[in-house]
Parts: sequence; structure tokens; C-alpha cells
Amino acid sequence: MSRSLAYLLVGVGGAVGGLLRWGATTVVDEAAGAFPWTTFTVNMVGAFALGLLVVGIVGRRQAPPWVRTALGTGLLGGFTTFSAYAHAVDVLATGGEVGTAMAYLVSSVLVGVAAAGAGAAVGARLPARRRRAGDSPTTAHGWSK
Amino acid sequence: MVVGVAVGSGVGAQLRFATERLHARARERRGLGRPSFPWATLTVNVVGSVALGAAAALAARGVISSPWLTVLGIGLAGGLTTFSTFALDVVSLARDHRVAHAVLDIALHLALGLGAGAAMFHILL
Repeated sequence: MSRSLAYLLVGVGGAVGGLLRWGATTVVDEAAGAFPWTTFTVNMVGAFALGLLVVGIVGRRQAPPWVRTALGTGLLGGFTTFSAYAHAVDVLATGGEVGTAMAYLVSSVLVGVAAAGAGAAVGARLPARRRRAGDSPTTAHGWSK
Repeated sequence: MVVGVAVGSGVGAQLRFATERLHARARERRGLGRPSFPWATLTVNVVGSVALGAAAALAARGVISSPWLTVLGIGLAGGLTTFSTFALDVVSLARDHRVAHAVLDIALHLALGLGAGAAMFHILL
């Protein structure tokens, strides 16, 4: 995969991911001071999907390198967000919703890590595909089991 | 607006990709192997959080319009930062029995990402 193709895939994937995230937050109307369920859900779904993709689809199923680049770095990276999470915690806390801010702060990290771990665990259970002779070698992730 | 968010998020993701490649290449040049600590993810998440803090403050002050906040904040900063890679990085570190590094990654994300983002927002506001 050439460098320019990699950047193209990341750009297109990131654009689609960002549009899906923006679409979700635009469609769902959240009251100011409420728990940011939309961003929370986006980040948790994205974390699970990335674990499944990296360990299962790319690792166990030996998907070609562009899958990791376009769907992992691009789509899921653009779909999930850290900046909106950080800013929402700040806005909630300074707006007097300290309990909601703390709940959002802690649950995003705990559930996010658990979701990525769950995605990786599901991915590790996918049947392994043996690489055929002549296939280009894919990056080892150390997740073979 | 759709085009603005798409371009912003696409470019943000490309900048994140460039940061990851830069980090990997710098380690290669120094004869080091795969990154032992996810500095690239931490870097983009801190820079993106600061960028969103700045954009939100400038929008609140009326310096930039609301559509620009959407393009720069939701698009560019949202595409640059990532929660999925952060979460999987922590899982990878813990799985490699480097629990202290996993805890450090979370602590640095919260201290620098949330801290610097909030600081930028309140300084510019």
C-alpha cells in the first residue's frame, strides 16, 4: 500500500466516521447539564469495534493491511472522540453538574477499556485463517490467541 | 456543513495518522522496536482537546461563528482525537503485563487532555 493511498483511506474513513458522529449528536437532542449519552455511546461502540477489528478481523482473519488503515485509523478513529469527552466533562463540572461530570469522566474510561477488551476477546475467538503462501505478511500484533 | 465536517474530520484523521507514523519512524531511526508507550495517541488527544477548548471559547466570545465551531471543533478536533485507540492502547498495555504503563496512560490522558483543554477554554473565554 503506497503512502498516498494510505492517507486517502484514512481521510475518507475519517470523514465518514466524523459525519456519523456528528449525525448522531445532531439527531439526538440532549439537554444542557445532562449525561452526554450520545458521545458516550459513540465512544463505547467504537472502542468495542476497534478491539474486534484489530484482534479479530486483522489479527485472526488476516485481513489485508488497508482494512486496518481505512476502518481502524480512519473510520473508527474519526467516529470516536477524546476532545468532545474532555470538553463535556469541563462544561458539566463548571456548570455545577459535578456529579454528572465525575460519572461521565470515570464511566467513559472504565466502560471504554472494558468495551475494547470485550471486542478484543470476541475477536480472539474468531477462527484463525492461515496465511496462504504468497500472501503478503501482515503486521504481528501479538494477539494470536 | 456536511462537507465542512467531512473535510475537517478527514484532515484530522490524516494528521493523527501522520503523528503515528512520525512516532513509529523516529523509533525505527533510533533502532528501537514497536512503540512501548502510546505517545502518538496521547499527543493527538491532548492537542485536539486544547484545540476544541480554544474553538469553543472563541465561539462563545463570538470571534468565530457557530458553523466554524462545528467544522473545527466537531470535525477537525473530533477527527484528530480518538477514544477507540486510547481504550485499546490501555487494553494492550495491560495485556502485556505493563499495568503501570496502562494506568500512566489513563492518568496522562485525564491530566493533560482534560486539564489542558479546560485550561485553554477558560483562559480564552
